[in-house]
Amino acid sequence: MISYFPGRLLFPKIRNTSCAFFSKESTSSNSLAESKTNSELQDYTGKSNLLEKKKVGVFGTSTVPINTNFPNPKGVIGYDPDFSVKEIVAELPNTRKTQGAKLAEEIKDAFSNISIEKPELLEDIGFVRHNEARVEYEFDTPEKLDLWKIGCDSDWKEGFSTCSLVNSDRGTAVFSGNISTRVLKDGRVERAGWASMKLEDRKSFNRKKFLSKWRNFSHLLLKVRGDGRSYKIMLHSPLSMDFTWGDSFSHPLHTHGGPYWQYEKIPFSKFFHTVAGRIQDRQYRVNLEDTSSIGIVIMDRIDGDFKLEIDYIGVYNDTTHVEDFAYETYTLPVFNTHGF
Amino acid sequence: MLILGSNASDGAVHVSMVLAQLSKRVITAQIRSLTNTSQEAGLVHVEKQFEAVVPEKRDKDAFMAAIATFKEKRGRTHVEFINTALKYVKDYGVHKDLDTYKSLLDVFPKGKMIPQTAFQKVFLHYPQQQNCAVKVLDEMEWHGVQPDKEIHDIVVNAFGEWNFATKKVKRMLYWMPKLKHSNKYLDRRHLEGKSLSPSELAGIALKMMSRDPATSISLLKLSDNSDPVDKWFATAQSPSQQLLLSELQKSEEVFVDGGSVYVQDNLIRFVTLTGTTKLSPLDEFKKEELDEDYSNWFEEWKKQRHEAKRSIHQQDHETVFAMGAMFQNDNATALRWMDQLQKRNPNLENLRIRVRLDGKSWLS
Repeated sequence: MISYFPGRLLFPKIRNTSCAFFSKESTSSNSLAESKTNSELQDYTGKSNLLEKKKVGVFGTSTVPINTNFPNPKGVIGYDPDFSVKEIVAELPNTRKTQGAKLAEEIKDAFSNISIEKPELLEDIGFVRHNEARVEYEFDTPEKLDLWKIGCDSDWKEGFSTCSLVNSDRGTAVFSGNISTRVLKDGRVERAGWASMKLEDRKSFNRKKFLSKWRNFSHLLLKVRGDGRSYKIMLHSPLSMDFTWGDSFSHPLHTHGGPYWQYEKIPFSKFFHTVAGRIQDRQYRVNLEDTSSIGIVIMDRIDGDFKLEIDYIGVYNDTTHVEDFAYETYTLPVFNTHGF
Repeated sequence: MLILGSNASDGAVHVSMVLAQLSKRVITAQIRSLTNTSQEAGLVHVEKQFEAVVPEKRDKDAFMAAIATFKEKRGRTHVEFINTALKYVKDYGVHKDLDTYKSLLDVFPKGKMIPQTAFQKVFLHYPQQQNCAVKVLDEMEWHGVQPDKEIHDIVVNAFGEWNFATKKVKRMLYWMPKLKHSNKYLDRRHLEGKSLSPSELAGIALKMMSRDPATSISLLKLSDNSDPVDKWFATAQSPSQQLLLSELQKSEEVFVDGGSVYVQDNLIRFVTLTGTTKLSPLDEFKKEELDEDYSNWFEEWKKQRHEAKRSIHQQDHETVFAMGAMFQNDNATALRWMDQLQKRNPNLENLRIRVRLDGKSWLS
């Protein structure tokens, strides 16, 4: 939206050179190529979109987007942030309506909650009691479910898995689908078979909501009912700088299946640092001040249907859990090849 | 070469080993003859070597024989060979086998690719080979094969102590054992490297699902070894479930439903015996005030005592009376399972039983 406003709108004469190395069009394209549309070119060369090769820039294509790019937090190859004025004008009333309503709600909340007592301040000085729990996300209405977005590899045209997230008649959410590890033969995809649900709870005008209010609790609490498969909880903490866009803190969520509900308490100290799903060498504890989203992922390399019923997600405090971080944090020597 | 052991079982082992050796030799000879004939015709891709083996004979021995043949030839096309071999690990059914990955990585020559200068250390020395080794290790990780010290040493001997491929294997050695036993519901040692029968798998699944520690899991075999179809019932029930079942009034309804659960990559089907719940939904969260009020402590204490009686089987939406698994999942077999259950729960004959297995999807 506003944050993706391209320079081309302000300076219509100038081509967007800042992302020229990585954009689909190269700057060297001549007038002939410009006059033809993209689809015509594809017809001419007989190439399909699926088999399209990565465009390699002067310094190579970055798999993790670098700062000279427009924001591309999901690392989509060939991502084009450009859009026309026409599209903005068409989108504007809708944006004003939805975001305006959110802003009005926020202002109303701010005025109605004026109080001298600051609950988080009290929690910071130790007012969170042992066994205290707080339910943050429930799934009993479709509106609450709308905060969660789902995705799987077939949505990205990178596989054959499917997934869905629906309300059950018990006031819970059912995250279900099918995982297929069959790899799409397009020469690019190497692994397949994942599905994920992710929280997209934002303030008005795309501002992030952080989970910092959880900082005084020791455990993440989930009430779920699974199918015996192993899932993964991810606490996403992307910040403004590009090298943090893939940051997340993960921990497996094992389910026992069957008719019984399971209360899964995962200590925040046990979450390990991953970037784009890969465990990192340099480990540190999850910082909930930076965490803005939470996701549940399945990628257990098993073909077949999956089903996870979720009642609520919250936090829990156990004062006997004094562990700060469960993994070794070695200090690396100054002169080492870590960065390479 | 053939030495018979002192007792019969020892001898049997030796004979089987010798047989395995012989079959390996035969396959090696087959592959060798194929490569020899093709060498006369000209260059042949390694892929042909793996394709040549008929699907029925694709096993660990054949795969190892192909690797041995390549090593014998002392070819220089290590990367091409390994990349091709990696494509066939699943076909040959060796994708969960550590030895295969060891011998695949053993293909790389020792010593030659260890970096000597600082530049070689900093930059990717022998990039094709290292990326290929990382690919093999990644494949191994994907299939959940646990690395050991030996595979680390194999990579070290080929690429040096702190090279990129070695870092990958070191990371695997660090993290994979850490997360290997993170599943507290299922002990993977009961499953790994074993070929379990459906009834054994069902037992493991029932143990995983039963959350009451007092649950006893029993297996009833209806057929002996002569029967071609193995017929069995497994039942998981705890004393508190028996008590709940005995407390039911005459002509109350109980339901037999189906479900399914994964035990690693095995899909196990199970049945549950449930009834409608009579209790109000459990309030899991009590609002606790900081200033304690003791004015009606007696009522509260009585209420607390009553609440403590609620067992784990009385879930919010249903009461679970028993779980089980059967050799065949249909209504008729479920009724036979109920007959077995009735021996331990005499009250079942007073109840109305509704079996709802046929015509239902399993994961719902």
